[in-house]
Amino acid sequence: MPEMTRSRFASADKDVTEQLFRDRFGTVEFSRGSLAYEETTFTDDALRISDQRAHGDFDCGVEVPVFIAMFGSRSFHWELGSVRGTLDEPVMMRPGDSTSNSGSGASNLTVLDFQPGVLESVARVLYADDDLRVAFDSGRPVSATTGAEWISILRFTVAAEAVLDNDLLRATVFRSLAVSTLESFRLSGDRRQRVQTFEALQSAYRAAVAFFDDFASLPITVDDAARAAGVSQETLRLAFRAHSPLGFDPGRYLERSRLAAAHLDLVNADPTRGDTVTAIARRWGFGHLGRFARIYRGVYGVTPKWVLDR
Amino acid sequence: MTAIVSSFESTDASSAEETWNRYFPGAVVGAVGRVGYRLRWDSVEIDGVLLYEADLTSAGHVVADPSDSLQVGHLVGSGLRHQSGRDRLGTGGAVLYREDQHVALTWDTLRARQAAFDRPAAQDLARTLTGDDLLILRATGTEALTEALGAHWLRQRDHTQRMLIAMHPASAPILEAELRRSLLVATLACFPTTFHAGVGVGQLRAAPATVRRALDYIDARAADPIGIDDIARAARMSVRGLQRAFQRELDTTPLARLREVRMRRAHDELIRTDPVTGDPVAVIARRWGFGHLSRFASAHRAEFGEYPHETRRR
Repeated sequence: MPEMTRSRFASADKDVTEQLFRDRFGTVEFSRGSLAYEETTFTDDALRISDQRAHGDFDCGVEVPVFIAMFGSRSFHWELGSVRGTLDEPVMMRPGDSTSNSGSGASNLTVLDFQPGVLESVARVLYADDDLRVAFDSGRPVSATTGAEWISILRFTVAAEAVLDNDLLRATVFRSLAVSTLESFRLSGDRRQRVQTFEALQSAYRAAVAFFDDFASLPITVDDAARAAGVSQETLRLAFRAHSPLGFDPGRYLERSRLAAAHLDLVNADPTRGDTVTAIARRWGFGHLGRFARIYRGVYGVTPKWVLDR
Repeated sequence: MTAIVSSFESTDASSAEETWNRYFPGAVVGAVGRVGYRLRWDSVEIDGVLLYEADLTSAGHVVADPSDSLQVGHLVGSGLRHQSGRDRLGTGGAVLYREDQHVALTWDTLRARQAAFDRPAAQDLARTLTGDDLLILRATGTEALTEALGAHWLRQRDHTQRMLIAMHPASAPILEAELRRSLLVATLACFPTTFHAGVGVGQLRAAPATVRRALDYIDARAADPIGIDDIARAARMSVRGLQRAFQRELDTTPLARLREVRMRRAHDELIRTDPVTGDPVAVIARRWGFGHLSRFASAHRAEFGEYPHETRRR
């Protein structure tokens, strides 16, 4: 798992703050006024969340390099082309956007920037479309409701600060943020279609898993499972990628069910009654003993022979 | 998979048992105060995950068997006494219930914020996250791994319930599935279970199917005059093999386990039945295979801290 870094920054010098933003986003230009700025930032290889406080009057132009979603106080104004707004509603900026922002007095904001490619890879898995390009029709949420949902998840994540060092929890809350960003903002394409695809894949995944688990001892193939689930092999592959928590493909899942069954037999076997590794491996469709031993060892850490003789 | 939301307020004390049983089949509800009874209930259920908040303003007593689901909860109130088996549970933090022990709860006033996960759903996720296909998900303790994780879990529980209810009934299946999954992962990450036992040789200790078959059989047939031979036959094993497997996996024997289940059932019956109109203690004891009343009484005291007739009088 990738590491997370947390950092704090505070400066009353606008030039120092400008340098921080240049290091982060490239082209950033502060043009007016004075600014006291502080932030707390959490970064891993998927995204960066920063909780920012600014005090002062400023104008700031940014050439946006990645997807950035933000939310904060009304005193923060943004402008994207001819569209303008204040940060008391969430806004999404896209790579290639030029934005002019300004603030006066005290502004608080939470800024989420996704490392390049992250939203796309989450979207491709979630919506089961390998060719999907993430593009948003506008910087606004789909509706006030989805905007409020996104804000809740963002706030929850910021409040989870104390446990972000836990890799599993951080991966989970960050993933939820990415999913919520895709669902809450105006992702290009047919939303209803995406929901239908999601639900169809979810049920195909469940049907295939049940089929594999029930018939692991028979010489079944991925094709049989696809037929049982009523989808094509390709669709089943996408369904597994989207819904199997480890991202197993169907073939790998089937192999795992067989291996698990063989493992159970080995644990319960009695060599004095004539049980052998070869017979057990063959019972579960592993014809090649060396290959079985290798896979088994990879998963269970010990050789099948050791388990049998134990 | 859409969420089912339920929200009501009731002042009808006679419906208390029905309410609990709708969500916890088999829960025994006793002596819920009829004066000033008011239950405020909010719950949301999605795909094997039930989140609920219950507020009760009159005293009561519940015994429930948490073995069907993985349950975590947070209770506050006055006059609270919260037990899992014979262990007194702390109040304040969220606790995970051990599936092998009955939960007994008495209160004067109660506010519960709970989550119950269908065991197969939780176990599947634990298996896929660890890559251990044989992992049997069991509690190995009751308190969160650290205080910070316990606090995080509770926040996530509340956040999940609030969002699922707020989103209802608009269709947002993708976000709903995400919220459900996140809470499940958080539960595994924050509480002590076999999920944390790691993979590798350790998983040889996961109860094999034979032991599970035997446990299911014992649970289903505890009321019948079954013996070790029947249990072994149900588990499709030799008697000696089964004894070894029980020793290895559960650190007990099949017959000790049978006796434990029967003792618990007898205890439940003592709580549930009326001391005046119900069967006498001796009849209940005999029904559950305890022929000697005095031996039953002392075993009962060893298990539950009181004699059968004291349980009955409560």
